[in-house]
Amino acid sequence: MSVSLIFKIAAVGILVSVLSQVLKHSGREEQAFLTSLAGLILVLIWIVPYIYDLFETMRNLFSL
Amino acid sequence: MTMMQAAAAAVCAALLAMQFKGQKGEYGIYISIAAGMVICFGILSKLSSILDTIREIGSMIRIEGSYLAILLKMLGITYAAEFASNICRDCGNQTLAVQIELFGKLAVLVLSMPILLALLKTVQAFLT
Repeated sequence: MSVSLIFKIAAVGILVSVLSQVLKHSGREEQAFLTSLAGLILVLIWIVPYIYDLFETMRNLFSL
Repeated sequence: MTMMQAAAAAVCAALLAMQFKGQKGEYGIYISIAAGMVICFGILSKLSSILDTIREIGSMIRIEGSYLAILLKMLGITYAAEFASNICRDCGNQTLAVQIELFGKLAVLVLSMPILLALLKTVQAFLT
């Protein structure tokens, strides 16, 4: 999960930028914005529990 | 996580983040944050073995347990504050980075107050 997270985020980023370009050129501005928003939310869904795990481990390690 | 894996992950993430420099800058930042956390997990696993040895040494020599715990807490606070402030600096907001660093410094200061009091009390006991 750990290293593949980086490549998953990169894949979502490439996909979203291509999709928003296509939608922009075909005149649908809102869909382009919505897709980039969806990409952002997807990345956040992956990253936030990961951040929580990290700080939880840190807390247990240093008995903070 | 060996050193080679960490280095490879860092280089791959940096190159991938460069890819998004043009139009989608925020994904570059997400990638660098994700890579930072992957390497941070490796650091924490290495650090846990070091801390176990330190606790063992602490139990050998006649040192009060609470001082060692406070030292480790300070280490944790500075590391977390440094990590968070650098991420904020990457994202471009300098004020947040400075705020977090200030919070970290104050937290460490608060932790060191009882030790300072204990020292002053000992000195006072000598003088009177």
